[in-house]
Amino acid sequence: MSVVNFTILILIVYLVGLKVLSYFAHRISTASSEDYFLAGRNIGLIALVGTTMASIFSTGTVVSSPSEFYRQGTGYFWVFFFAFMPVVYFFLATKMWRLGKSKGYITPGDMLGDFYKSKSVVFWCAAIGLLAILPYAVAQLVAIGKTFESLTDGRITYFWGVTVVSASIAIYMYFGGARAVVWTDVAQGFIFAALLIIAGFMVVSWSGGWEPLITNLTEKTAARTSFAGKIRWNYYELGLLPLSFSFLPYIWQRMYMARSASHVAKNLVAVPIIFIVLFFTTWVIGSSAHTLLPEGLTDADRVLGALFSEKAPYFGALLLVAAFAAGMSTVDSQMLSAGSLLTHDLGGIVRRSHRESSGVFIFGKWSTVILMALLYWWALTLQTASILNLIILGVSLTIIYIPCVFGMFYWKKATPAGAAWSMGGGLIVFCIKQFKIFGLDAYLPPPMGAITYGLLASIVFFVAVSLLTSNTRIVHMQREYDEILGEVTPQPAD
Amino acid sequence: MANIGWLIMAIGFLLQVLVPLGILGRPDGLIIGIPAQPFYVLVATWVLVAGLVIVYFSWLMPYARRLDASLNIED
Repeated sequence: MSVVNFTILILIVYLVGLKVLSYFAHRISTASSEDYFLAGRNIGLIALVGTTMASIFSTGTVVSSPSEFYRQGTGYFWVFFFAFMPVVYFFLATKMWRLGKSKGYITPGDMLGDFYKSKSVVFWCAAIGLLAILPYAVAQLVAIGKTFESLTDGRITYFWGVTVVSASIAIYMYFGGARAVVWTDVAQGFIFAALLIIAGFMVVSWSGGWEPLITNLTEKTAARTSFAGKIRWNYYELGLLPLSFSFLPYIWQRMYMARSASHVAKNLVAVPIIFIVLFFTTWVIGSSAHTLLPEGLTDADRVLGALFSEKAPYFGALLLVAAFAAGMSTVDSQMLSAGSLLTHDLGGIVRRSHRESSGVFIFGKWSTVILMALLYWWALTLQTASILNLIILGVSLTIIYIPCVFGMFYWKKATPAGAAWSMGGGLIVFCIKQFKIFGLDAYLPPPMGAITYGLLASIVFFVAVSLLTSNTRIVHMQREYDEILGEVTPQPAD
Repeated sequence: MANIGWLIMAIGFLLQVLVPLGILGRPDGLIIGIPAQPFYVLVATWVLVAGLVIVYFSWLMPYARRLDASLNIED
C-alpha cells in the first residue's frame, strides 16, 4: 500500500473512531446546558489532564515547535515560560471550581458578571472571549487543511480537508457536547503525546545516538545553542502568553468541569511536567534536523515531513495524523466554549433561572454548529494567511481579564465600574496597538507590543476607576464568596 | 514549607529570565550531554516546577481537600 493510501486509511479510521466515541458520549448525556457545555461537572482526573493537555497542545505544537527550534534554536526557548502557566491558576482555579459548583457558572462571564453585578462586564468578557477564540480556532482549521493536503500529496485538497474536518467536529459536538469533546480529547492527547515521544527516540537513533546529535549541533550550528544576540524585548513579551493562555475561556471552563477540587489541583501540577517533556522532545526533533538534513531546508515548516518521509514514511504519516488530531482537539473545545459564550453571555439571552430549559439547551447546541459553519467559511478564505499571527492575536487578548479576575478574589476595593473599564479600555488599547487604528498607535511606542499595552491599560483602568467609584453594590458578593470559600466563618447575623 | 516552595519557584522564574541575558556567562561546553546555555534554562524551568510541586503538597492540595470536604466530596 502506498504511503498516501495508508495516510487516507488512517484518517478514515481515525474519524470513524471519533464518531464511535461521540456516539457513546451521546448515549450517556442528558439534555441540559450544564451537561452539554461542562460534561455535568463530573470529569475525572485522567480525563481532565487529557482534555487540558489536548486543548493546550495544538497543530502548532506538533508541527511548528520542531520547526521553530530548527529555525531559531535557543531563540524559541521562551516557550518554556509556559511552565509558569499553572502558577497563576494556583491562586484561582480551585476557587473557580468551588464557586462554579455552588453557583452553577458555565462561562467566565457568568462568574465575573455575577460577582461584579454588571451586564457591561458580562458583555466585555464575552466579546474578549469570542475575539480570542475565533482567530485561534480558524488558524487551527487552516493548519489542518494544509496538513490534510500535504498528508495526501494533494489528493485531498485544502477545501475538502477543511470541509471534512468541520463537518466531523460539528457532528460530534452537536450530539455529544462537552463529554464527546473530552473523550475524544483524551484519546487524541495521549495518541499525539506518545507518537511525539517515539519520534524523539527515533531521530536520536538515526543521528547515531545522543552524543553525535549534540556534537554536530554545537559544532556546526553553534549559534543555535547560544542566547548571544537573540534576546530582545520580544523574547520576554512572548513570555506573557502563558498568562493570557490560562484565561482563554475553554481553558477556564475546564476548571468548572472537574469532579473535585483535588482533581483541579492535580491537573495543575501534572500539566507543566507533561509540557516540559513534550517541548523538550520537540527541541530534540528540531535539533536533529541539523544532523539528519545536512543540505538544509528552504521551508522550515516542513521539518517533520522531511525528517520522516524517507526513513520512516508510514510512521511519518501517523505523526502528521497526530498533528491533525491535535488541531481538531483544540478546535472542538474552542467552538463549544464559543457556543456557550454566545448562548449564555452575549445579549443577555439567558436568564439564570431559565438555564436548564430545553429551549436554551437546543439553542446552545445549534449555536455551536452555526459558529462552526461560520468558522468553516472563514477558513476557506484564509488558505494563504499567516496562522502564527492569528494564534498569537487570539492567545494575547485574554491577558485583559487578569486584573478583574485577581481583583475579584484579592482586592476588596475592586468595583463594577473598574472591572468594566478595565476590560473595555484594555481591549480598545490592545486593538489600537495591534491594528494601528487611526494612527493612534504612535502614542504606544515600541518595543512593547499589543499584549503588554493591553495588560498595562487594563491594570491602570481597573485600579484608577475602582479607586474613584463605589463598591457598595458588590460588598455582599465579596462576603458571599468568602463564605463559600471558607475564608470567613459565616455569622448568624449575615 | 509553602513559603520555601514559592521562593524556589521565584528563583526558577528569575533564572529563566536572567540566564538568556548572560547572567551565568555564555558557556560553550556541554553539561550532562546538553549544550550549557539551553541546559541552564531547562534547569531553571525544572527548579520552577520543583517549587510548584512543593507548594502543591504543602498548600494547594490541603486547600483543595478542604473545599472538597465542604461539599462532602471524597478524593
